[in-house]
Amino acid sequence: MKAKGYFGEFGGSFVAETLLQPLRELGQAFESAKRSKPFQRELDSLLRDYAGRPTALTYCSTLSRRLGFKVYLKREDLLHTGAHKLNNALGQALLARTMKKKRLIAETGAGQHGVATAVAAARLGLKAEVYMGTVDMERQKPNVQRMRLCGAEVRPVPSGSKTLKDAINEALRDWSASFEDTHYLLGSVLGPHPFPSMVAHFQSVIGREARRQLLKTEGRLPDQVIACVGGGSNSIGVFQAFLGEPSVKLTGVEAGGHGIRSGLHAARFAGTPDAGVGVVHGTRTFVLQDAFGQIKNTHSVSAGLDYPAVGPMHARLRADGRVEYVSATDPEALKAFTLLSEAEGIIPALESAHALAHLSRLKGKLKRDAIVLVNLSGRGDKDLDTACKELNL
Amino acid sequence: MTPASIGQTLARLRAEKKRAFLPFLVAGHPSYEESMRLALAVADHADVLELGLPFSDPIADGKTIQKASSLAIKRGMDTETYFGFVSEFTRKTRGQVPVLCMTYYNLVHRLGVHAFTGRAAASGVSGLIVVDLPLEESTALQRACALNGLDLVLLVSPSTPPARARKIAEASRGFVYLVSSVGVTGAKKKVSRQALRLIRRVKKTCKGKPLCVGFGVSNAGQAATLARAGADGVIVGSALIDKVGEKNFSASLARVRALAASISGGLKHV
Repeated sequence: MKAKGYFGEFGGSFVAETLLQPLRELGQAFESAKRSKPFQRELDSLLRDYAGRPTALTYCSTLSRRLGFKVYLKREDLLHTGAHKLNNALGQALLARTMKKKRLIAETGAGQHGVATAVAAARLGLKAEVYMGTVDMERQKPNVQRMRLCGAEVRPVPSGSKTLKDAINEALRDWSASFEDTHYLLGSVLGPHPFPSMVAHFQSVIGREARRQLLKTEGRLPDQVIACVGGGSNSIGVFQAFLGEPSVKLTGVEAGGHGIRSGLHAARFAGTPDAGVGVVHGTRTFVLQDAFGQIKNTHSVSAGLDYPAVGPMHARLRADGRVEYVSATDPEALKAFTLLSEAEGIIPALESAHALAHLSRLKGKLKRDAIVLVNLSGRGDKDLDTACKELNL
Repeated sequence: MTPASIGQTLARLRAEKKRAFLPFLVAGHPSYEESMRLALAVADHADVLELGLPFSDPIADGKTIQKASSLAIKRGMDTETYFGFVSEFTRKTRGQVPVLCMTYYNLVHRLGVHAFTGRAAASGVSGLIVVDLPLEESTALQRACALNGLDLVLLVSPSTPPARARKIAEASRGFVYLVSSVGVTGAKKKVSRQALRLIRRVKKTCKGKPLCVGFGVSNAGQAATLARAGADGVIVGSALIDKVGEKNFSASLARVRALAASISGGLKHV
C-alpha cells in the first residue's frame, strides 16, 4: 500500500481518519476539474475579467541601473485584492461549487488569502468563514475589515502563537466536523494531499505568464528567478515554469526574522538543529521544532511568512538541489520595502520585500545584461502600519 | 514487571462478559504530581488507561484537551518526562492497568519510530494510538510496534467507507478504536442514533477484535448505551478533564474519581 501525494520523501496525508475520505473526494474532484474544458473556461474567464489577468511584467529601470543588471517584476500585486492568493482562491472556490459545497473555510496569516477567499465566495455565491490568529488580526487590520465588508465571518484564533499555524489548526478542526457541506480552501502549497499539488496547479499561471511575457520582451529566459517562501505558493507558482530549464537559477527567500542566531525567525531551511524534517498539518516536510518534536513559535515582521513549516515540494526541490533557499532578516526586508517604493513607486508587501532584499545582495555580482525576475507576490498597503512603525515614518 | 497487554485485558473482560472502561487523561495536566494522583485515582476503575502525550498542535482535539495539553507542556511535560511518568504509574499500579499512549505523529517521528517504540515499551507502555497517522502512513510504525511488543491501535470514523474499515480493523492491534462522531474530541450531551448504527456496522467488520468507542462520551448513561449497542469498551476523556478546575485540586480529584466510578459502575450493569 503506497501512500499518495509524495514529492520524494516529503508530503503525504497525515490527518485523522475522519478527514481521509473528504480528502480522497477532493482529490478526485480536482483531477476531473483539471481535465474539464468547461471548468477551465470558467476559471480562465474569472481570472481575466474579474481578477485582472494577465498581470503586468514590469522592467525596473532605476533599480536595474542601481544594481547593475536587468530587473523585472511579475506584478501579482496588481491582481484584484492585491496578491497572488486570488489565483488559488478562485480555482478552489469554483471547484467547491462543482462539488456542491455551500460554505468555504480558510486560514489566513497576512490576511491576503482570507480576503481572496472572501471575494471568491462573494463572487460565486458561497458563504465564507476565515480563521485568523489574534496577533495577525492586530497587525493586518485593513484586511480584517475587507473580509468583513465582503460578507465573510472572521474567526479570531487566540491559541498557541496566535498566528497562521494556529489558524490552520482551527480550520482543520472545523473541517473535520463540517466537510459534508464545507470546502476547506487552504491557501498555500501545504497540508495533506491533494492540497500541495492543487494549490501549485492553480498558482502555475504566474510562471506561465511571466515566461511568455519575458520571451516576448527580451527574447530569452531569465538568468535568475527570486521569490519569497512562507508556505511557498507564490514561489512554486513562478518556479514551475522554469524547473525544466537548468540555465535558470531559482532562489527562495525565507523569513530570517531577528536573525537565524536569535532563534526568532521562520527559516525552516536554516540548517539549525531545530529545523528538521517533521510532520505538521498533514504533511512531512521541514519544520521548526524542539528536540522532542513540539512545534516552535516563529517570528517574522511579515505575517505571511511567519509559519514553522514549508510546503513539501520545496523540501524536495531543496533536496534535489534545484532551488537554493536563503533568508532575509526583518531589517533587510524593511530596507527593500523602502527601496522599491522610492526607486520605482511600487510599495511591495513585506513578504515580497524579502525576495527584493535578496535581489539587492546580487549588486555587482552579475553581468550588465543578466536578467533577474522577481515575483512581486503582493502589494504593501496592508503593511503600512507595521512598516511606518518600524521605519519611524 | 511486565504490564498486562491491552488485547489480553480486553479478551479476559469479554470472556467474563464485561465491558471495558478506558479513561483518558493528559500526562502532566494540571501538573506532573497532580496528574499522577488523577491517574492513580481513575486506575481503581479503569481496565486500560489511555494517557495522552501532549503535542503543541493537537488538530483532532477540541478545546478541553487543547487547553490541558498546552498547560501540561508549559509545566514541563515532554517525551522523556512522559516515559518516566509511565514507569512510575505502572510501578505504583503493579502493572495491573495497561497504559495506552495517545499522541500525534511528529513526537514519534522526531525520536524515530524505533527509538520511540523502544523507549515506550521499556517504560511500560502497552500500546500506542497516533491520531494523525492513517493506515496508509503507518507501515513503519506498525512494524516497530510489533518488534517492541506494543499494540498499535488504529481508528475507524463515521466517514470511513466499509471496505476501508475492514482493512483498518485487520491491521489494528489490541482493539479497534471507533470514533463515534465526526469532528474533534469533546464531551457531548447525547449519543447520536448514527453512532449506534455505526457500532453495529463496524462490529461486523472487526472479526472478533474488540471494538472500543470514544469521542464525545461524557457520562455513565451514554457509556451504557454504547455498550448495549455492542461496544466492548468505552473511552472517556474530555468529560473527565472538564472536572479538573483551576483551583482546589482535591475537589477536582474527588469529581474525577466520582465520574470514573460512576461510568465504570454503569458499564458493569450492561
